[in-house]
Amino acid sequence: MDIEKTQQFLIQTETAAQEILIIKDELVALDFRRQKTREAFRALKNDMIPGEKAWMSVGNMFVKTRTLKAQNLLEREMKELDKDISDLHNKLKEQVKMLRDLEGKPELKGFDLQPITKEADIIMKALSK
Amino acid sequence: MAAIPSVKVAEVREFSRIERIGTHSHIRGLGLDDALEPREVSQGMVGQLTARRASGVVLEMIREGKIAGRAVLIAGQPGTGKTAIAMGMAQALGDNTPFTSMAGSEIYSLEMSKTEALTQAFRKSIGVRIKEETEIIEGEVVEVQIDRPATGTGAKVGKLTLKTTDMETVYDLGNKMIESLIKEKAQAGDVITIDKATGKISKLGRSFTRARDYDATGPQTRFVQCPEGELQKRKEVTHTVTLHEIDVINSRTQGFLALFSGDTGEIKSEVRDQINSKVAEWREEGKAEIVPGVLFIDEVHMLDMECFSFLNRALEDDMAPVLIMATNRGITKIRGTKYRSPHGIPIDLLDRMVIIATQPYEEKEMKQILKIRCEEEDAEMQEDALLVLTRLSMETSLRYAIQLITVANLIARKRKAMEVGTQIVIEVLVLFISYSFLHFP
Repeated sequence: MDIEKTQQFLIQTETAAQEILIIKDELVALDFRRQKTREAFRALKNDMIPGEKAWMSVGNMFVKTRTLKAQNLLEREMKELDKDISDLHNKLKEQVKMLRDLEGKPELKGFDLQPITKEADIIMKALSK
Repeated sequence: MAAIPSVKVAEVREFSRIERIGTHSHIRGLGLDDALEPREVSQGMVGQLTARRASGVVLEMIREGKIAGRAVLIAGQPGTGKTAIAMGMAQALGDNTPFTSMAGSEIYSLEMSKTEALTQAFRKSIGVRIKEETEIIEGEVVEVQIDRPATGTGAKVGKLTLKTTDMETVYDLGNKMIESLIKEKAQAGDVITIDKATGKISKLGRSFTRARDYDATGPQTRFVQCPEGELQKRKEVTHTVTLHEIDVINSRTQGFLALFSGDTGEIKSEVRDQINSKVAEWREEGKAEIVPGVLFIDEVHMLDMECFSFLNRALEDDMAPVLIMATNRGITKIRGTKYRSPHGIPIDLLDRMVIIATQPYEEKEMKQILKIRCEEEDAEMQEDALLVLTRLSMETSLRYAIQLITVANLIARKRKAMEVGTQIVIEVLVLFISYSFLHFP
């Protein structure tokens, strides 16, 4: 009986932990894409003349488009990536909460709070002076 | 003038603290096991099992937040461990819960009224938990490239290459960023953090892989690992501040100075109302959590009638901490009146309180306590000397015996003796007389 229970418990915690690791890897990959897109955007902005056409790689293909169009595309992609990363962060927090629940650890204090960065900054600056 | 590389990261800075060996410095907790049963000798606490078990229950209720706005009274003869239990509770609660400790007589001050002193004490015991979130870029500098315009005037342009173990990328730098980088003296091999919102650059140290670059490094150089994972991360930090601290910050422009000088003076009730409504607003929006803490008032019989009526009212507030009081008086006059009541506290307040009674210690418990104090004060005591002290504490009082330990230890050390013997204890006895030996005509 005990062995089965332990096995169940182990399966659950290992799955939850694996989910977290997968999300972390995804975050790294997304950030990588974000940085590369940003580099491309800046390269277009700095080096290209607005009239000319630029080569851009879209997936497996190389496409020659007007610089403006390319810039818009890249900007849109960056926005989407930002949103995806944000969503993933929230998902990560949920998963961590679940894992801690499973492991029987006490809840992390202040986990679910909405951030108030401006006010918090003022308070902490005033207190640490 | 050489600029010291600044490491402005939120790390815990450990200063070597000179810990004063106080009367209760040997207490590390209540000494309870997981079932809230007290162990005979544990975490510095000895005996007093019923009172400790009761305090353990109170502690659990505090942790679960079920007891905010209630009062607990620890009453017993002098020298029975009341303050010790309060210290144990404070240690057991840990750093997350605000614990304010004060003596009853502290509220009498010329600078502020009694009610103001009590209100401040109350608000020092209520914490507010807030969170800040920032996006930071953290990585090891691979290359910094700054181009100065050929004409001498005009903005500089630059590129900064940062890497982590998983990726590497190039950032374009504007003028302000270049200035900050130069100011921080960031070079290839340094691990830096850039706050995306404010643009602040902090140096975390130098990468281990670049440790062999130079034959000699300055005394301030720290080596850290190359960061892993994403370059741009999200950082969340949670802080717990007390309502009193927020009051002071808001009540004057230079409020933060007042926190240290202690001269907070009277804080206007409008300011407090504003703060209360703001914190309530944050609570609604899920931006802050209230952490009710503990206010411990020792010698509560020193409070007078006005204070007690104020306490009655203040406990009804929706943001009130747990009030733990301690007194060693039996049936005494309530200060400020000529009525007598148990512990010098009015009956209506006594009614709202949960009372924990402490009993005088038995001989073997006193011996154990004396042993713990000897260890705490670094005194080697012979077995006979310990027995003498135990008998002494039974005849006179525990505190007297504890104080003799310090004196006897000093004399023993002066005489280059390794241990404190019975001889020395008897000598000290004659030198410092206990009040119970004194008979005045």
